[in-house]
Amino acid sequence: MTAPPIEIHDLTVSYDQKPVLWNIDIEIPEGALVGIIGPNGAGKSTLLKSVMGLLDLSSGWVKIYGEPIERQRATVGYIPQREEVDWDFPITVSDLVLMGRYGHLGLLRRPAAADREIAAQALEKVGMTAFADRQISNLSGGQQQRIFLARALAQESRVYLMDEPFAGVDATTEKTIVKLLEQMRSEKRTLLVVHHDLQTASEYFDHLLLLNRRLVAFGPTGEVFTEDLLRKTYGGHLTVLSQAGEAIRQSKSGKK
Amino acid sequence: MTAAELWFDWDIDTWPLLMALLVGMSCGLLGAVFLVRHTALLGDAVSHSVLPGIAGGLLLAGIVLDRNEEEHVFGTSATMLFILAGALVAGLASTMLIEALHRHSRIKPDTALGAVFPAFFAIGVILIRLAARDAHFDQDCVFYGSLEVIGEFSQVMPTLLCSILVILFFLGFYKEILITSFDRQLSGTLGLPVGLVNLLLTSLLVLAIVVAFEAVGAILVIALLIIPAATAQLLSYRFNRVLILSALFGLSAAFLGSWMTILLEAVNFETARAPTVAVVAGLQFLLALVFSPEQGLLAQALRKRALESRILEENLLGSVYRLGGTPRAEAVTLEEAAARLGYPPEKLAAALRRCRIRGELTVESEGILLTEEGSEKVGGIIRGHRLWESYMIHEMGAASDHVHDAADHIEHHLQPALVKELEKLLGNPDLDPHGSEIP
Amino acid sequence: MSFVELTGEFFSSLLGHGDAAQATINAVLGACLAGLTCGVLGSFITLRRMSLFADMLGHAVLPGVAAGFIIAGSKSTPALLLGSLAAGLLAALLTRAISSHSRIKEDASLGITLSLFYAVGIWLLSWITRAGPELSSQASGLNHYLFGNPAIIQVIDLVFLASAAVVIGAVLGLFFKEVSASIFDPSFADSIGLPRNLFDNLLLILLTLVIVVSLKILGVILVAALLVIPPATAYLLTDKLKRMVLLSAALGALAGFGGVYLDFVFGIGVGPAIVCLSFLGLMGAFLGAPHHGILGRYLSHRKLALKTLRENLLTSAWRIGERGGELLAIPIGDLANERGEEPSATRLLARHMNGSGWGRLENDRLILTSLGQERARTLMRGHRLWEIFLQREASLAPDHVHAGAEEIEHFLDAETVRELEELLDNPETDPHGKAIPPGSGEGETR
Repeated sequence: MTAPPIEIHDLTVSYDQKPVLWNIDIEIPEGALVGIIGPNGAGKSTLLKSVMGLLDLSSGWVKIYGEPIERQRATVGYIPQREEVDWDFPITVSDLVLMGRYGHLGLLRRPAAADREIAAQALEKVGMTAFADRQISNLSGGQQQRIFLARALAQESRVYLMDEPFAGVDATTEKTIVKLLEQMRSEKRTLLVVHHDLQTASEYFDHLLLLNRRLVAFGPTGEVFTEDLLRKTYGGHLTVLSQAGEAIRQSKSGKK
Repeated sequence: MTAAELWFDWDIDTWPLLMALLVGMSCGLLGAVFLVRHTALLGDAVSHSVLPGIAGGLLLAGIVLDRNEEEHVFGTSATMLFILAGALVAGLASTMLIEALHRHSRIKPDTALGAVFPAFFAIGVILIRLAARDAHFDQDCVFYGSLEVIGEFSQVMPTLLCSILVILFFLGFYKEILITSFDRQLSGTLGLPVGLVNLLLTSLLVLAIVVAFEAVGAILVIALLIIPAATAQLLSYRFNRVLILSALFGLSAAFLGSWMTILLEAVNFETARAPTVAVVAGLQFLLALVFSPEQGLLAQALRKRALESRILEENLLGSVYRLGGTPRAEAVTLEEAAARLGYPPEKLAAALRRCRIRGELTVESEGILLTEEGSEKVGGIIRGHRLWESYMIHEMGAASDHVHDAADHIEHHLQPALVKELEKLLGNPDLDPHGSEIP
Repeated sequence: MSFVELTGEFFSSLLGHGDAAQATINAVLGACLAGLTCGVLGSFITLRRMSLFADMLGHAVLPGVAAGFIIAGSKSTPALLLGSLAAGLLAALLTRAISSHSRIKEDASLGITLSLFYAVGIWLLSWITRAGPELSSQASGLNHYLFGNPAIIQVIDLVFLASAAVVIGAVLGLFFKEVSASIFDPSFADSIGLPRNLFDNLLLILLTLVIVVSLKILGVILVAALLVIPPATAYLLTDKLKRMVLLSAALGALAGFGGVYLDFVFGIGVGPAIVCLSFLGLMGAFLGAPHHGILGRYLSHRKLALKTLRENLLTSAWRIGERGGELLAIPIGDLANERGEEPSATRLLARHMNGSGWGRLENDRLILTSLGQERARTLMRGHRLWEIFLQREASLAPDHVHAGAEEIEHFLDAETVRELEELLDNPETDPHGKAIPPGSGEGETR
């Protein structure tokens, strides 16, 4: 049996000594289109960042196809939240999308014509070809999100992690993204998407991951999109976790 | 005054000019990267903090080496090595200390920066005073630089090497520099060596500052690190162009500054070369700040003026339409049109002139009349206005007597695509909320 | 002269008469006043995140000094002060204009103004020193504005310094609560209608003022240090704003005095000496401050580790007691068994119980006091409540919950435990079927 695209074992992550994710255990099956849902501060982005190896883990490990992320970088594409980059940076849309190819090039190598071609196709797929020479700050929020997607497409990864791609986008962009997600799933790519809208969650995704600092449930949408599990995820009881986390932080930083 | 006095005397000026050009170029290139990374002030910090390293290296070299052969500020190349090593240690130590201070205590990053580099500078000054007691170290060089005393190729050598290193680094690592500057997270997820690129960049920065030290002094180098880069950023939106422009502005400041010193000297206004180069860089920046075609203050002011006059024209057309109706129906006086908008009539005079030139309005003896063209244009604007009012009432639940002012404002900014979207949303209505017809 | 002789001379000149003594007294007074004023204003400046603005202004007043000199034709103090005041305010305006009217961000625009103004200043100075004899002969000593030199402090400078101190003290005293509110919580300040921009501008003007009057002592490059370092030191030592202001003023004045003294003895320059001294203070606080220093945090980590270790021993002991074993004096062998360790390791750990008030190692047994038993009960109760909580609310399998509870038990405070009880309806057994010890004070009633 081949190793799953993403395997997370006993993952605990802390910010400033305060645990924000507690003992997460999941295996994501190949080709799943997974929506991660949970209230604000549930650790959804943190989960993606930990999978990408961008954070120090307090405990546990993450494997991509049975190997640590460092050896599988080219396999995984990551789309951060839009606010996390500097949109005033002097760079054009096409150059930004071309960045997606950098992981495939070695040190010291420049992008070749083939890479530019792939980037151009990615831009075409999100319907942004007309904007190729624009500076990125001159785009609307939805357009910014689409070029982020194009950059990820140019990475040609088997696994994608997307942080709130639907946040604050216009209707056209939302449709484009949904179409792309469907297409990527049909190509057997594995997708992990942080999502904030319960209304559409059951419609867009075939698997759901309910998260509130702990893993509440993970499984096919039909099985886990139940009132009981959603109440557990969004109900107030898990705030005790936050309270306990705060107690840990205060003790460890010597405030008590 | 002979023509020769107004131009470079190549016997004397070749090496100082080459030195200035090299420093200008390498500082321009490096500075641009730190500017787009929002760490422009790191150059400021490092340029102050290398001082104790330079002084310490000098002192140490004095102890270890035979100093009799020293001829200029930095002495022999062996001394230069000591200075370089000292500066590198001091520069990196200061950045690490700044980092440690705000990482491991509650001191904020800006305060850490503001605390560490004057402290390093102070230590440097003390060391220089100690060094100056038994070595001939020109204190003024710290401030004024000493471009004019560079008299042979060997003095330019270290700077030349450093510039070549900088250029090679940019050619080889262009995409890594770009991506680590724009999106650290992405570079991490792509497995690019972020730490290595950053370390190389900081080391090159220290190196460039040290070799520039002799030429332009400890602090003027900040001007060459920040100002050409900022000038470039005012002129282009592309990373590669910002880099190239920044290097070019560094070069041109070096050239023009050196030349200006000669010109000023010819009129008995004698100045040091290095500060003149920095001042010229500053003038370039101010020019760009005002005249940059897209981002300049002038362009911004013109755009604002153009928008204001367009709004005036559109308001005038709307007013004539609303008072007089469709083409040539009824003439309206300027006073009536202005009164409806609550403007004094003279405010509309220029707008009227422009509309007449474009053939949107004609002025007959009885008053102002709308032409076919004018009526078509105004129809589009009023359509936008009334659609927006409907949208606000139906979709945003606004009260019907509250929407007019908002629509008045937005009608000048509605793009055709948005109007289409509104039509679709509202199902092509014929009447606006006040019962007026939507054209 | 030796170090001791110089020290003696320094202090005797503070009490002495004559020109030389007067110069020393002026220097000390000037440096202390500057340190005091910078310390007070700097507290607000650093908290308002304007440290780098201070640095920029320090460098940027230089062309004002040079221009003042050129216009007045001499080193007349009022001319130089007015010049630098004008340059400082102009620089502040330019910085704002650049960052608000272009894509260039605040930090870069600070760097631009700093280097531009500084370059113009140096350029003018380079002209002055090369200009004809009538100007350059007057100019000797203008270099003092670069590094500062209190030896040239005259009574008029002291008058300016003192007036600036009074103005700054009065303004900040008068508007203390408004300024601190607008620094701490800008949106709150807006919501209660405080004119925040006005206070920002006020701080800027005061900042320029204090820089201008302190220039002769510290010089353009180092003057900002006195506005940043003592306040940062005070910030590490106290959590109260008023104390921070007073402490930073005291530290500034102390550094001023010490700097003049060190320069007198070693001749290393007053400005650099003052800055180095204050920086030593900052490093000291960074390492040794009780709560916010490295050492303080290390100690509290050590304390926490010790507490965790002791508590783990207590819970092991509790488990033995629960199975009917001896609870009051547990043989080390039993304890080691329970913990799956070598007895020698457990013995080593058990020594740390001494002095805890919870128990002690005696005759190779761990003796628990009643306090220790109470603590063990509380710990176990928290541990087991937590396990239930995880299982019920986070749908965790029973064999997964223990590890999570193991760590958390040391951190559960009374309030969280109460909340858990309420949430879980005061259960009596944990997921493994073990009894949950009653909470303290409830033991007797049940």
